[in-house]
Amino acid sequence: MDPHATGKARSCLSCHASPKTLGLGYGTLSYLGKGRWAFQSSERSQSDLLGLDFPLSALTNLKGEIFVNLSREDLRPFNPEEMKRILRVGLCLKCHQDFSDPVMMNWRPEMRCPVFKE
Amino acid sequence: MKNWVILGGVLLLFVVLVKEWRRQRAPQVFTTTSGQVEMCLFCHQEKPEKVHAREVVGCSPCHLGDPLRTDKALAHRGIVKNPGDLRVADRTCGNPACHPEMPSQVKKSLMATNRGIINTLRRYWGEIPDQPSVRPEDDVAYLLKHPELKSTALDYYRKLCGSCHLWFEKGKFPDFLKEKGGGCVACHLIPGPKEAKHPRLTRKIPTENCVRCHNRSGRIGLTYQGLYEDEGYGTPYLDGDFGEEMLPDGRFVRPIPPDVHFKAGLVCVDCHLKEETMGEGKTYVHFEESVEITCVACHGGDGKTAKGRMVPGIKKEKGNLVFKDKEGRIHPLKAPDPVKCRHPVHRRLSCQACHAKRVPQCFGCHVRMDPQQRQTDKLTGKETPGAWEEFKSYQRLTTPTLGVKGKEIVILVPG
Repeated sequence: MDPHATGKARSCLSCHASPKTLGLGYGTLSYLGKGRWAFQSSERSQSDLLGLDFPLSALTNLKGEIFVNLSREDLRPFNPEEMKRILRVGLCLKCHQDFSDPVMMNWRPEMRCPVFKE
Repeated sequence: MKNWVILGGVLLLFVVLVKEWRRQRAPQVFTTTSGQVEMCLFCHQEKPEKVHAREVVGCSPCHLGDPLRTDKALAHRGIVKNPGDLRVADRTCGNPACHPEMPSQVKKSLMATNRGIINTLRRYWGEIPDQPSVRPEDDVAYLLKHPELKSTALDYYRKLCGSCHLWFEKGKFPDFLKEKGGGCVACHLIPGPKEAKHPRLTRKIPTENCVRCHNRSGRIGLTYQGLYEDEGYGTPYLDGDFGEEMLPDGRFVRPIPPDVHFKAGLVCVDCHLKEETMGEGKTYVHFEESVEITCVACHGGDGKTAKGRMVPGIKKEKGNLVFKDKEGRIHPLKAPDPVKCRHPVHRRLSCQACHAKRVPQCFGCHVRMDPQQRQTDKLTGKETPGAWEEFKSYQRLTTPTLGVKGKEIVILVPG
């Protein structure tokens, strides 16, 4: 949907390093190395009153399990592969903060970082 | 016997004479500029706006009744207070001399049918197959004709959603519901000057007319204006009163940064075309089938909507596309950033995915029905057993969660 809140674009980090944006919900993401991630939800994993067995703000988890029904047939949360790709960029943002950085401006998928060890 | 007849005749003559003496006779035959006799104008001084001027249109083409009579009871036979009501619109606004194509189109529009709401709700609640499809019964007009059609989801719809459609009778319900609905006038009516004694019809639909309905679910009408319905219960309290603005229905809202288009003075219908709002004669299930305006139509595009229609506000000025709003103000159109927006890594992103920084999100939204209580069915106006109440676990105004729709990255909102 369009929230009708148009304005200056959100920051790169608000997507590329945010578990909430990715659909994991509120919590903490940790990079474990070799492309692996861990996520610790800041909400209870169950909601007994509502009879739900997932955190309220989560749509999915890092394994790709989908917790909620979405309103359209062709609508889905990000899958694990997409989440990994988005989060990988988040690791670059420490040094290459936005598109004003030549590395970001000219980035191509085959490029590898000479500094960061996967 | 003969005397009785004479006495009866005299009495009858007396009654006729008194009645005739009391009868108000018009000093002239009132006609419109086209020569139609319109005796309503003898009594009525109301002055609508110029487009529907009393001297040109008269009263009866809109309000029906009998324009040849001056006797109030006879003249008012069959009169309608609200000509915009969809029950009469074919004979009033939609009469052959005025807007004949509109009522049938509007009746098929999602704002009249509520098809998306009804179909989605019934699918969610497992009452119909989980495939969106055009079903005749997913339509307010059908439900109005068939009060016997009952289900849990329909009961919920009738009681909590049933006031946000164009069939809703204006003025039938009390409090904030009084201003809602009314068919054509739900959107097109604005207050007139006091001395005119008649409201005005307009094509410049003010935002508040749209937001009378578009203020729940995604809260887009509120967010657009820079209002957030929060959970602060009216706090901070100031001078012994609530410190927050209150909506007509009692919900509290607090100010947030509005949409840039609102800041620029644009109203909803500056962007949204008549084919989107009033329908184009086709039956759709979901709003996205009807909505055709896109960001790129104005920003970096050729001024055409997703369905290839020219955006009415787009004009060419000194070789550049500009936007002329309903008030006649000219707005320059900014093209998307060639690097940030056009970079191949972001090719799947919708504009909103980045440019909508905040959206109200209701987590753990749920409803409860108390079978011991009664609640008004907004379609029939009658109270029936079972009262629905909505709850949320918590609500936040925060950056949106993203997901995938087809091949596009879009915003996903709970609730």
